[in-house]
Amino acid sequence: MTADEWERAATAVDAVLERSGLSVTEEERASLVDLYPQILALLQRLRLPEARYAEPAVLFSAASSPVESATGG
Amino acid sequence: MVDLPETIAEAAAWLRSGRITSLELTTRQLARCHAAQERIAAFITICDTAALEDARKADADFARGVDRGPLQGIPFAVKDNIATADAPTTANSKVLNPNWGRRPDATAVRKLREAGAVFAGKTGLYEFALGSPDPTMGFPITRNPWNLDRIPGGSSSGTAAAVAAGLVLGGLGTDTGGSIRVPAGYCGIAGLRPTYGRVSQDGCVPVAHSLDTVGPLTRTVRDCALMLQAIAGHDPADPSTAGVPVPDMTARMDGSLAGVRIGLPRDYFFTVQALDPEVKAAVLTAVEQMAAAGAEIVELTLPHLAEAYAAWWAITFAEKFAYHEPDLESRRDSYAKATHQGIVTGAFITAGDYIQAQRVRTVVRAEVAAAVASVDVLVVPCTIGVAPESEDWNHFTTPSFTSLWSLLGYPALGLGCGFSSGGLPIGMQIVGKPFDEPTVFKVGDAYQQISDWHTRRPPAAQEL
Repeated sequence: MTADEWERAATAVDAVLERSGLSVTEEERASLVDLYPQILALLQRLRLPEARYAEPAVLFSAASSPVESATGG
Repeated sequence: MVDLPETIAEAAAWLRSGRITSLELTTRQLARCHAAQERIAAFITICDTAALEDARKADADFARGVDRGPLQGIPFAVKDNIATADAPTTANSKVLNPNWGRRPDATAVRKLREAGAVFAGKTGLYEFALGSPDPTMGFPITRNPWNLDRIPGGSSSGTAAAVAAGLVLGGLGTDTGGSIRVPAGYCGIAGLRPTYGRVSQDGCVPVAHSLDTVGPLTRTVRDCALMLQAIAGHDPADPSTAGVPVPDMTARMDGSLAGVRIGLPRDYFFTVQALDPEVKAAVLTAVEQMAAAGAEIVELTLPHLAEAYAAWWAITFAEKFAYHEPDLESRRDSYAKATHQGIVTGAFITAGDYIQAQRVRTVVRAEVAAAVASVDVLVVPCTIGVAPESEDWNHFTTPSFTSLWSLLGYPALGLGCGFSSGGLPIGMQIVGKPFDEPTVFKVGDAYQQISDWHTRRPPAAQEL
């Protein structure tokens, strides 16, 4: 990373940590800044065109308990 | 003094023939567990009192003609992120509230004990089944019985090491992205990640709830099947368990590979640059042996592997972040450094990322199901190399051969298929279709009948 890129990554990392209410050591912050471009790159892979309208693989059941739903009760 | 059986199946026969009693077997195994603690450190807690009590019950049942099945009287170990009534549950962490584990046995443990098995103790793991071993945290650091300078792999380190060293004949691990299969491969044993929903997660400290599984680790594939038989099935306490019938897990084990169609996805799994040539050669040799025994090898390509890995990562880290969020700030200094930093990366995943990852999961599930429709199982390596000296996994750069099957919920068996020139085990995976563990076991058992890797014992085991 260039110095500018590092600064931008540091700003983004600080914002995420502040929003999450997390404090980290300077060493941990530096590691997170170094990782930040890799995290973004990984998350960018999720923008798969074929998945744009796919149903998310999560399940919600309106039954009063998940057990009822799972057992057909 | 009697010899010790090598496998669960052998022990079951000895117990029924009167060659050994459960009390004798348990006493000898407990002695091995204690003797190995200084060098291998497989256990966090060894439960002598509970084990001897279970063993006496098993012997009393045998004497009364009560036979609860092949696990009766046989000691087993439990990864210490699974709750047990007779021992604390630490998850190898100072963060976990000790009150969390003060409850009856987790469903999988309860089922094993109802089958007459003997609870021997709680085994070591990476903190919360995450991160890497950290000697500053005060928990034992488990070593690989094949080479004490190497790690056994994680996160089910202790159970794998205990089985490899012959401290117990079987045990439970958990697997979110490879935590049963990786240590099984590094230790040269068998370890099954069951189909998601096959085994209850009740009583397990979660890593990522939509990916976590509980499964067995043993020396042989047959023993793995016997353990899965006991712990499988729908559990009202865990809505993620599927309401599907539990088949006879050994029914297809006929020793034959004739007509079995084995999928070989060469792209990525055998072509990544980081793959150790010795691992590649060993797995491909195993495939050739199975072909020579009658299996048909079908070359195939799996789509969107990079996107699938990203989905696995995003789902895992978002779910683990959500679980740990209340403790991350207030208990920061109680976490191992690597664990804390790993969990914090989950804060960078937005809700949109998480949902998109679940969409990718849907797409890849359909694509892979179509790609593997014509085969019975697939064979791929467990890891890119043999057990390293320290945990060197990097989620952003280390190729993963295990996480895809976790994302898809497929059953995957890790087992030894050779040794490196340095004398370390090499592992391969046999991956099956959802809820088709019997076919996975059939292929794994047949492979073990035409190979002898699983009969070798590590030097550290022979010295006990």
